[in-house]
Amino acid sequence: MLKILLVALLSAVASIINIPVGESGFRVSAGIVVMVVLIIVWKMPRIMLTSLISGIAVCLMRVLIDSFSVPMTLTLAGNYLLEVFFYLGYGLIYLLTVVRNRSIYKTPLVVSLVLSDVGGNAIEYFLRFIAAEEVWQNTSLNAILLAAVARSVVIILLVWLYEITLGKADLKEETAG
Amino acid sequence: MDHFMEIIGRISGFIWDYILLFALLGVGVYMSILLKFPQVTMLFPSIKKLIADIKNKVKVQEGRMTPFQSLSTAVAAQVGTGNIVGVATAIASGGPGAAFWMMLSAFFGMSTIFAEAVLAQLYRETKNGQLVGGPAYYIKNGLNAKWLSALFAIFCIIALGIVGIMVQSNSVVTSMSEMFKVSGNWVTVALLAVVGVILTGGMSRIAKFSEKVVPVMAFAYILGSLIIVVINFPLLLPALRMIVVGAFSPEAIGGGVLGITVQETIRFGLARGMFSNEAGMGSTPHSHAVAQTDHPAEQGFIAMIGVFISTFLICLSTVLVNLVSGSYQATLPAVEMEKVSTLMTQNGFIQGFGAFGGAFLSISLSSFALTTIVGWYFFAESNVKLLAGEKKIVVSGFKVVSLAFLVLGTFLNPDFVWKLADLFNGLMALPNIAALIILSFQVKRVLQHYKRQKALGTLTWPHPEDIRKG
Repeated sequence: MLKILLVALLSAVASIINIPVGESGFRVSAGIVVMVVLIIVWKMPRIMLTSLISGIAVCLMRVLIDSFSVPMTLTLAGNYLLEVFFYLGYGLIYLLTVVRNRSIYKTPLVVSLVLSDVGGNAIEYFLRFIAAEEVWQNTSLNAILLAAVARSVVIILLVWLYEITLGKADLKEETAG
Repeated sequence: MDHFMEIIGRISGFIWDYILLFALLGVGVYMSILLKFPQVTMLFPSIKKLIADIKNKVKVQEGRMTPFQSLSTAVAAQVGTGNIVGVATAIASGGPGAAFWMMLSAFFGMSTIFAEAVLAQLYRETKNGQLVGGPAYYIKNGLNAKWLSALFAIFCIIALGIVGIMVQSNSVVTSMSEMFKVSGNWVTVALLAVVGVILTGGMSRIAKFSEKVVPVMAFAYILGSLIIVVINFPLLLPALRMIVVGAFSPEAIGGGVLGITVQETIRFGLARGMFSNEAGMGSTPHSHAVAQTDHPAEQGFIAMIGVFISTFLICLSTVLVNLVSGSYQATLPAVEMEKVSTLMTQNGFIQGFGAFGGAFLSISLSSFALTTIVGWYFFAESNVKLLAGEKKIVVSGFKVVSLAFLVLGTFLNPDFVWKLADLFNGLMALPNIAALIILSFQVKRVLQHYKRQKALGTLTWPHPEDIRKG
């Protein structure tokens, strides 16, 4: 549980770094990157719980940061709350395409991560469409896909960097132990 | 581009109108006579057996499907937008009588699909621990024609795994975004995620998805149609009369205003019937090949149920909705009805259920298209496995390629993609029909073997040599 809380905290802090994509209000943040990298390198077993708690932490962080600059309203907080569903959707698709994938024809990890990213974003969009004020109606398909590919590649690179540096040290420790 | 489209349209029109229409019907009639009408004697007993298997929750080994899962995967592919939009177009252009000929072609198509499923079972292979089969395999192992088998595989991969997926993704995005006013881009990414999750899970996830979604989807559509028929019950008998009378004398419908000949009625009806249930096209045998059964003939009987569901239940539902709701107007000439044919069924549902009817049809269309994507991908993948041999990376790569084309399909001009799909579907059917005719006596021997075994009370798998010798 401690590890899950740590993942959530680090994801929330990382989510402060975010870039708007286009004019529609759709933005990508580093929170999900940190969450997925830690899930992979720490081999976290409870994906859905980690996603849920990370999503809530990111939402609370957004509310906290924004409350310094603008008066916080229920509508604004509600908009941020929907981000939890992005994290949950991402976690669910990651679970299905990576963890619980029994196919003998393996899918490249980057493809699974792109699917998780676009799936999570799609879930958040449809909830925004139904319930929220901010709807990313005009986001271009290229922007959505490019953001997903870029984030997935960054995740793979960070995992790879971990494995060739800290991962090796962990392995040595395990073998020595 | 226009010139290129015209050439594709002409080649495709020639293949469909002058070769396949006669070849598919001819094979159906030939198989029915050769096999002594299995659709009459075995359809309902096989439905009964299938229900018993579902109740008993029959389990199969890894890398195989249950007969019900293979049927669901086949129906996933068979039931598509053609069962709604295509059927409406057929009755708009050929009059209500076209429905009669549609049913007739499906009746003969059941024998064709029986033969396809039997051959697929007989000549299947095991690759990387999974069963795999289909026309390319019975052409390779039954006819010993490797080049023709490879040709079929290439046509099938292009027709179903690339162009077919583009056509269907285009339909889903157009239908959902127009009906619910949501962003088409977001529908595309949602579709990508859903299809991606299913395809990356391999054969077992495709089977599980099909066995859960297809029955619900088919049942919901039939129930919705049935409610409209019940609401308009007094118009049911006149509608049935229009179908029967219109089949032989379309000039007797609506005081002769339709302006179509009986030949046109037959042509539109037969064509739609054959194209909607895919019997003889060489697509559905891929899923029937991987079913674990006691005898190849048993899967043949199960395959006939697919045609029954696709044409006798779903297509007939569409026909009746259009006729009883009044969205089809017998008092208008066929040329006028053709102009509104794509919206005809939608209007029928709106007249029955109001705004909910439009949303219901849009969701039905989208789920039909979604399941078709999954089914067609599975069929195409079977052919990739044939060409790739044991190389797993090729199959994994093909998943990514198909997903990329799914996204690409939403950008392209749908008319162009539909024309390409028609062409490659036609090209793929030609070698399959040739193989069915050449191997027809083997199908007959399998059926005879099944009947002998059944009489003895012990069902054993026939040895391929026994089937070849007779």
